[in-house]
Amino acid sequence: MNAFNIENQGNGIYNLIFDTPDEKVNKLTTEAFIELEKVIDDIGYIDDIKLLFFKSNKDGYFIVGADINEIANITDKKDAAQICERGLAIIKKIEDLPFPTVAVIDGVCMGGGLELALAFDYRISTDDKTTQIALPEVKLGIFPGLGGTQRLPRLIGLQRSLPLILSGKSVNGLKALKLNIVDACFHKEYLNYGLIKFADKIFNKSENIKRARRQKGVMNKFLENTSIGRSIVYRSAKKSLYKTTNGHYPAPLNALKVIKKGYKTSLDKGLKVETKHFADVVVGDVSKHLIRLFFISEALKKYNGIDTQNSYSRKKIDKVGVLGAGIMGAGISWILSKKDTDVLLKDINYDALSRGMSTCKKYYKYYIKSRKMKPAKVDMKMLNITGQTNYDGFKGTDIVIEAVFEDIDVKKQTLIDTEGSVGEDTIIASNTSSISITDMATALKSPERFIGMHFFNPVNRMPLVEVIPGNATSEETIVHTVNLAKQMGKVPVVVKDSPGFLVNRILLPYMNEAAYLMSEGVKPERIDKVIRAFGMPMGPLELFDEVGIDVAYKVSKIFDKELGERMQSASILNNIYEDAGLLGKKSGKGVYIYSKRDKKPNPVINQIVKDNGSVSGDNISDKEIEERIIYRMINEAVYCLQENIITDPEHLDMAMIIGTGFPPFRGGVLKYADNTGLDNILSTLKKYNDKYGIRFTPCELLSKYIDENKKICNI
Amino acid sequence: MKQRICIVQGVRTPMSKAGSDLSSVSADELGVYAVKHLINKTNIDKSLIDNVIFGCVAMPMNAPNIARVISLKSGLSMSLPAYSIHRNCASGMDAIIAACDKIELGDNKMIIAGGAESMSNIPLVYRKSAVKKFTKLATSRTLSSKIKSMLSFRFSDFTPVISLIQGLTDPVTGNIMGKTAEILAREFNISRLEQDQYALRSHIKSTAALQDGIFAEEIVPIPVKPAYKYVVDDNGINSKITLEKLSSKRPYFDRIDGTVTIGNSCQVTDGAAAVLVTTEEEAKKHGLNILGYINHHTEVALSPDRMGLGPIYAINKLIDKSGLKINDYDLFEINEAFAAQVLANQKALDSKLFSEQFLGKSEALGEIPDDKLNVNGGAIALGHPVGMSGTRIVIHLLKEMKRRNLERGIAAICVGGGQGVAIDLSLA
Repeated sequence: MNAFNIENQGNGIYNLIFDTPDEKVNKLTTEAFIELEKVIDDIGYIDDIKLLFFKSNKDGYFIVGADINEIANITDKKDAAQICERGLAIIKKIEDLPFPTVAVIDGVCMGGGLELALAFDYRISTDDKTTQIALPEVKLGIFPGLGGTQRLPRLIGLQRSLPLILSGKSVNGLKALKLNIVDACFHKEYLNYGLIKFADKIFNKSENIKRARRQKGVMNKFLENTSIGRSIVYRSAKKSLYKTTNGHYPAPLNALKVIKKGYKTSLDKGLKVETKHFADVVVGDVSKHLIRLFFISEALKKYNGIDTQNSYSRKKIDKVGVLGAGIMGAGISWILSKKDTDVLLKDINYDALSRGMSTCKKYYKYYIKSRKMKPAKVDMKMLNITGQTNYDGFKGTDIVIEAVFEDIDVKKQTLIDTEGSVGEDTIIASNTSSISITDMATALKSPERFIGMHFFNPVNRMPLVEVIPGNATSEETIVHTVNLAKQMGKVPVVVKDSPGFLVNRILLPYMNEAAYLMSEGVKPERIDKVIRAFGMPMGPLELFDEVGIDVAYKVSKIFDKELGERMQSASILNNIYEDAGLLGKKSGKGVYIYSKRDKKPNPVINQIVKDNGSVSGDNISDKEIEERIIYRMINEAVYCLQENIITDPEHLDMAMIIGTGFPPFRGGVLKYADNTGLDNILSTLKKYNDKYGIRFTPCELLSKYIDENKKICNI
Repeated sequence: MKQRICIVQGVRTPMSKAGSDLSSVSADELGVYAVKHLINKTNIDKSLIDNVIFGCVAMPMNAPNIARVISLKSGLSMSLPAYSIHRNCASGMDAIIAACDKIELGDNKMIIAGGAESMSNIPLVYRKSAVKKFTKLATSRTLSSKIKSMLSFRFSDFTPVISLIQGLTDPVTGNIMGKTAEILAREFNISRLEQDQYALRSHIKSTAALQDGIFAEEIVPIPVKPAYKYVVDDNGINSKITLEKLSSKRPYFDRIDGTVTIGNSCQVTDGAAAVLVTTEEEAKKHGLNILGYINHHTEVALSPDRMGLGPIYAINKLIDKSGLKINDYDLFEINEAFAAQVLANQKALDSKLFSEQFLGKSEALGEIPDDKLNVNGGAIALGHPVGMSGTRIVIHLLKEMKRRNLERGIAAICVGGGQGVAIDLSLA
């Protein structure tokens, strides 16, 4: 490798240029570090050097950070510590150079890239929109391990550095200047003039650049420079961390600890503390899980939805027809309008269209409020949606997404009308959560262009889209549909056409088991608490209320019929829905009673449980609650693999995480199963099978994995 | 051989009285809806369009070249040129004519032309005295001079100048448009009763057309912020109006002894319309159905005080071009600026004396019977968004000819400032 070059610019100014050969970006790999050390040593021998600029030659990228593959492969704490120490030593060499050094940050500057830049005497940024500066390590379950937790707080203070380190958020070049991370910010186009100006400043000492970094204000001085002040800052940071992570994510907590311990000691001591804790975190499960999920999401970005090697020219989707201006249709239209795609939104009357348009506007209001968009911009985006009651213009659409009422006859009729109005290559997609794509396709003359696209509610926030090819759907249709979902900023996952598709099918036994537990006398709030403690964002009974008990009940009945006896719905649902008429949050009363601010248990549920003869579920342990609910979910997930609903276990894990909020720190449903031990899960399922019956009968594939001594997940 | 130029399709927004349903929609947004629906209705590939021309009289302050704004907001290509056109009330018709010219010259092949006007949004402006004082205040440097300039303001400085009224007043003769109608009424001896009867007929015809869904064939309903409630129909048509009510209105422009009232004048209205103009060959090449052909077009000028007679001069020139007679044409649209003005044109057309004196012809041009003229009512009932009406009457005339299976028609419009524009249209 020949990634670093030294350039003599004259007048004692030298440029150190980082340009990794045959790569789009610069990464701090081990190899790069070794070469960097040599280059720094060489620079030390240059006699006439008065100033060093460190630049990247990659357009749009400074340094994207360390090599995540290398981090993923660290399994031993000693190795981890050694890697950090070697990196820190090299960075120290830069810090110790006897002449002024300047890192020129133009483009993405992440993680190790910023930690390296922090060792320079000065930093300069551009205000280009590619310039994003961050320490995003916590997103991968680790924290900055090359001095970031020590040098950044020393440079910009605790109050400013903590949010950057603990949340991993990124700032642009201008904001970096405001935070004093950089000492100057120039327009990209004028960067070279800026550098000359900056060099002059350093040579002439006309301005005390370092002095300008000091924070002003009495309050700041109190919070930064007194031990009482600092303890206030630490305490509030810790509190908000617990609020956002529930203590499930060790990296930010450790980072805070490291900062606290190292901040007011010597830099060397601080760095030692950092290395020690970094080694602990980097070999931990959570980090491995989050890195795995990062790899999966990167792979999904490249995924085109088909298994064969056939390639199809990418179709840019400019015009989309959306049928039905209900909550789903409006949500889909909104996303498309935001991405400046032309939308023809059709419904049967103008009142329905008005409601749909208002829904879209409501989603935009957040952008106006948070000043991410000006009202005039929003008005323009809204103009991307044309509301209409006929099929005018549908001939020119690239794809039509049907999102009408969830009824097979209504949908079939809509599809027939659509096929008669669209062009020859228009793809026809149906947004459905429960109707078979292959069944619907029978209504069409050319079923090969028909496909299912299951968006999750609320469409504006849920990133998952299940793409469901029917029996006759062509590969080309799949590829274009997957591309459209990506164009919309969604994460598409291809699943087989079968009842409930993937996510709902796995989710329903989980909800159903909670209902069984409730009917056995376990208090709903206890069930939800146990599952939230497991890491789910919401308990299963809260989820019943959220999706609507009527909806869950109906879906449950369908599954019961189509997927066999193990899906039999808890009879208590009959009492809750049919007898008591509880609907959930939308009517204010479900498993819980909802008031404006909070919710409390619904006494009706208690009564129903009593009437059914169950008195107390106190004899059921928290462990049993968790196992029964979560293991049914796992078992169903394995069923989905067995039935080829989805082929890639990694995709399944990602779908459950972004579709249901399954806790990322546990790695995913199947990863969690692997980690728990498939034999443990099998024996537990068998135990419950004996006690509670067929609901817990383990899937055959589970035993097969155990027999073959294999894990489910590939990575 | 000369290519025949055709109109593929035309659409318009509903027309709403200024200050009513569409008042919160800007002129450019009105135009966007018309253009987007036109593209949808024709299923035209957007990349085939090579120019956008829009007429507008009161260009919005924030969209001085409204055509370009409409084009970009409609999602048309950034590399597509667009310009706006202004000949007062004929602007919307001139956009179509300009499109014809461009195509005839061979510069363009397919053009979106139209008109857009939001008379609700014509601004009120500060009078000159106030503007001077504001300028002084802005350039005052010291505190004392600032206070001094502030104190120089009087209440009367804040009485706004209504641009709408200024725009409707001829700057050369100083006559407001209604006054020119009064002149025609006197010179052609048109009684108040005749004018009111004409206005009544306009409402009756429009009411019937509305009920028969005739306007729905050209209207694209549009959503209005903040609730995105769709406006579906024109709101100027008054189905309950009677002759008594019309005759009880006071003369508006000549308070002493006038005959022109707001009841027998056109309404001040918001709306936009657009058409797709191309050649017969292009249309066929891309599988587009042709609505009708543009055979000839003319523009004329006359005394600003008698601007209402613009149509007869324009029609005179038009039949000279086509070599046809008035009764060879099956249907006419003459924009109803004022009842008196349409009636004057009708009388002049049928007058030998007028022909001799003003057109240099020995015979009258020929009568346009009532059943051939503005058969579904006009601007008196529907309203007159000044920059848009020219496009609207062309669309409406073609669609009505098609409904009635008629061959040939003329759309003509009078222009404030003393001009007239007319187009000769046919279905085949």
